[in-house]
Amino acid sequence: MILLKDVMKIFKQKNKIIYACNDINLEIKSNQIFGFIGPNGAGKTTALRLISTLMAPTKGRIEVNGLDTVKEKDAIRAQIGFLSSDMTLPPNYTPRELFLFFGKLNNLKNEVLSKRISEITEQLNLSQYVDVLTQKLSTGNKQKTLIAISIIHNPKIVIFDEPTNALDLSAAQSVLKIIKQMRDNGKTIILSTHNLSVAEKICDNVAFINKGKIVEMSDVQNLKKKYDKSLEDIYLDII
Amino acid sequence: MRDSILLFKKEMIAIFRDKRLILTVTLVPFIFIPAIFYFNGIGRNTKPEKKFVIAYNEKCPYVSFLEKYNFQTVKILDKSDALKFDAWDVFVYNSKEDTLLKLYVNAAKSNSGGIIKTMERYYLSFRDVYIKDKLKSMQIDINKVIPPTIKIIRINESKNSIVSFLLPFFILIYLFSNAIGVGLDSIAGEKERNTLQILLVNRISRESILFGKLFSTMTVSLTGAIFSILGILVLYIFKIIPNAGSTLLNFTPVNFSLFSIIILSLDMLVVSILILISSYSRTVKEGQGYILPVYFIILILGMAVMNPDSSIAVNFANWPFINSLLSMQNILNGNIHTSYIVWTIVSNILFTIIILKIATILFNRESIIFRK
Repeated sequence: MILLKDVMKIFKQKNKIIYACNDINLEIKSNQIFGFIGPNGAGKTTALRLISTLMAPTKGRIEVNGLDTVKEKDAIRAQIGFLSSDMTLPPNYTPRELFLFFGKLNNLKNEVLSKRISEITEQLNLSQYVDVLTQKLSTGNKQKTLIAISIIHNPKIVIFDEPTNALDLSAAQSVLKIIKQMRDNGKTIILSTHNLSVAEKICDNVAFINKGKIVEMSDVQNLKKKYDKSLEDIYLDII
Repeated sequence: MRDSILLFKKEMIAIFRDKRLILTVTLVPFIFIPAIFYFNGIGRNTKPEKKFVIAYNEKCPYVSFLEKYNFQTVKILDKSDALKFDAWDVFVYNSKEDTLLKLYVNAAKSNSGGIIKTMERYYLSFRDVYIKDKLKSMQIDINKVIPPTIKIIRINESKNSIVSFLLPFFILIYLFSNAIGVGLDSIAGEKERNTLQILLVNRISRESILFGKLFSTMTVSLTGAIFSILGILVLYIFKIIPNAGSTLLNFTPVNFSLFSIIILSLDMLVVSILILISSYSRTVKEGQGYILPVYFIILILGMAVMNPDSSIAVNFANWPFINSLLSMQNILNGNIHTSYIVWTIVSNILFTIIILKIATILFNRESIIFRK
């Protein structure tokens, strides 16, 4: 379970103060797909970076499975996988080399790691590209490789920032399918998107975020019932 | 440390796959250092002097003197033809009316400076011989007229050679220049490509990341330095630099170990500066902007210290970089000052620790890592 209590994140830029997250309170239960929905610059990426320990909140507290994101970073990092749409693969490596490196970094033993690599590459249809240099992979396979890296250590929580951004339709469908599979395998997925159809297709719960504040949060089905509209129309009304 | 070694191994995979980098680090110092010296004329100093053709209108004792030294001479009747410099380099004009000999040299020729110096040098020798002969014919005691000549005898001469000044300089330059690309790319490049976040979100401390990057960059720059030493060895083997052999004779096992430790500590210092700049910079380009002035300062210091009597070398002998260069020069000259070498190594390590501490602080700051 992930808990955000009175979380604020303030950035100071020259003479300007930006409230990237402004008094956020939320609870994300395990084994679900939770989506942060909002326009560009709403604070989605900052919220995910805070949960994934990449950033520390200016005020408030974040707990991941009972662990504090500021004081217990290492223990949390062992439980999470993080992937952002602006992440790219380092060149001059094969996916296998990267899987081995990140697996060993997460203390996986050689036998466990080889088994895990086979499992993941099969699941993501990456087996035939595992020894191809990353710069020679297609955009879809690059994204799949990044997903594989983020889950190589079999984390309980997977955080995806705009997972289908810049992907073509078939690659995006393939990534969404993988995300659903992960949820079905018992993982908690937290993602951010400004693509409402993506959110409607896969999210169990969503939070609308704008100017750093959560303006609406609920189960997707309940939300649609409450407003009697599609997510897209609700978004246009609220934001 | 385990994570740093893991990261180091990973970084080395990409480095070894970069063929252009490998060529830059190995072949460039190995081939270019001998080439620079060869084409710069150091090699030519040991070769016999090139004789050129001298034209004249009337034979005079000076021309006869030159002929004794195997200069080819040509008699020309018309002065205007002589100044065309068709098949000769100098025209000696003897006017008969006065005692002045006019030497015409084609200043447009690239070697005109050398020709003038040679003609002046031979003229001084000619004048001495001429005066001596005249005095002898007048039965005057030469020793009473001509002042005594001098002969300089060097006592306690060290086995200095140009290698002892050049090698430390080139080692420093190659440690730096080879590390710039890899060092800046290691963090600033990863920030630019957005590949760093994958590491940051994993279970590896910021310190381990910095050390892993430090070790891999050090390996690259040390390889460059080793190949620059090999390049200098080529100069010695092909006798492009004189006295290189005597410098190499100073390499006893102890001296070699001290020399290696100084290079290693100097490399740590150089690479830590790069890692610091790389940690702060958003992009490789921004990093290059910061590193350029540092590189120029080091270049100037290196050139100044090539003369150990220079004011920089004397007044700032205990400063980083200068102490490393002077220590390496001393070892190559066979002058071991243990306390100075120890100070050099200790100061390099201390400065490295301080710089890495600052880099760690920067690397831990969100405002630096996520700076846009």
